[in-house]
Amino acid sequence: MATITTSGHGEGLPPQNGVEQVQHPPASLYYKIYGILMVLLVITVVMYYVDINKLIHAEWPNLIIALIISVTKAALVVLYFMNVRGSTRLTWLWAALGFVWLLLMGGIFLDYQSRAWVDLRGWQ
Amino acid sequence: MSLRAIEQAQLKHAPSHSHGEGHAIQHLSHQFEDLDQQNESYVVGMWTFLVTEIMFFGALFLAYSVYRVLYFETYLDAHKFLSIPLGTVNTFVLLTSSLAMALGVHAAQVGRKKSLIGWLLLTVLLSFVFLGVKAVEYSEKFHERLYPGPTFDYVVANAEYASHHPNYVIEHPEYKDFEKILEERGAGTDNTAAPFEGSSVDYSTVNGYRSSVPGVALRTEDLGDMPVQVKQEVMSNRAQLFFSLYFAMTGLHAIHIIIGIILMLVIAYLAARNHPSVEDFMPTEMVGLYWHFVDIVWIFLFPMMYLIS
Repeated sequence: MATITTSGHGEGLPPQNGVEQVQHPPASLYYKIYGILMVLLVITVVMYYVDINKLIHAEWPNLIIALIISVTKAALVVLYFMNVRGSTRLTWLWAALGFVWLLLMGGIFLDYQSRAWVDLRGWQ
Repeated sequence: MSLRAIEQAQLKHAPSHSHGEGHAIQHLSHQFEDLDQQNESYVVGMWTFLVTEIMFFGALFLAYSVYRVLYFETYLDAHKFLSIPLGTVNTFVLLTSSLAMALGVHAAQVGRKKSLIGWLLLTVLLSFVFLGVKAVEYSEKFHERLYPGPTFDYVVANAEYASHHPNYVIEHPEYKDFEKILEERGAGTDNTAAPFEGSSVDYSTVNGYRSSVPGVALRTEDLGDMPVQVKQEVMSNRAQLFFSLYFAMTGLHAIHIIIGIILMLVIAYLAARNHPSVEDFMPTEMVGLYWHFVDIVWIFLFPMMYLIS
């Protein structure tokens, strides 16, 4: 792996006015990440044709594996292509916040099916 | 490695800039203490925008998830109309464009202008490939009458599908007479052949079907017990919901791609004209952040739409 540090002052420079420095990865790292993304893409597509659900008689594995791979791919893009990995702590906070808000929005849908549904005439 | 170290290393190797390449120049605006603070403000501002974008797409993904849980059977049936090879190619193209963008941003950071313009144009080219594949897919959906609206006809689409896939008829015997269905309801190229005439079924008489809103009942487990005609109509309405979400989500994503293309062309043009706005690499880096976000949306769209199992 390439030499990137997350803690700011890699070159021994003193912190300036309390703001951390952004660390940038070398271009070769982008190619490596791209290679990993391609492998994950192939795995995603192959997994579709392998029905694990039938193999182990469970209902969710295929969906869960697909989501785990997607989240991994997204995390690689966020951390390396978008360089959150080498960014300041404030950037980390901001990037993480987006997903916290998303979780909150998802949370309010958890009881969707159990809500009292009124039998109304719909559009037609 | 920090940018300063990269710059210093470059200056050591090529002090004369013989290929017309300079090093990254950043100007400090007077409201900032120093460049680090200025750059952080750029990034945090952009991420604030991206958070709103996450929520924007997130709402659509949630709508998709809610109806996927409710109408999984229909989702599973409807996803067969989406082409996995085309979806895979598009994922490949978009991931590659993201790499090109990352390398373009890197070129901007170290002040290689020609290289920056080259990577940006490659990214734009790949974006057009993506949109081209998308256009092929959309036109297929229009052709198969799977575009939500008055011409939407899931039964005809399925009959058409059954005519090409003999195995489908084995699992879905109601489409055994696909030729008859195609003849009766109109098929093929003319999208306006069969106008929508509204429901022909009195849903209140159907056993186990509780909602008076066709196709939007919350109970899904008794779909198999319904008479074939009712089942087809219910499935059709639910499939229309699936394709509404498909077009809304991929369409919104495509709009983002188009905006990205415009942004990249503007940056490339300004860089080619030596415009002072792009002497600083941060505008390019912000376009890069946006582009990677568009890529991430597709990373989730692809398995959720094309790979339902």
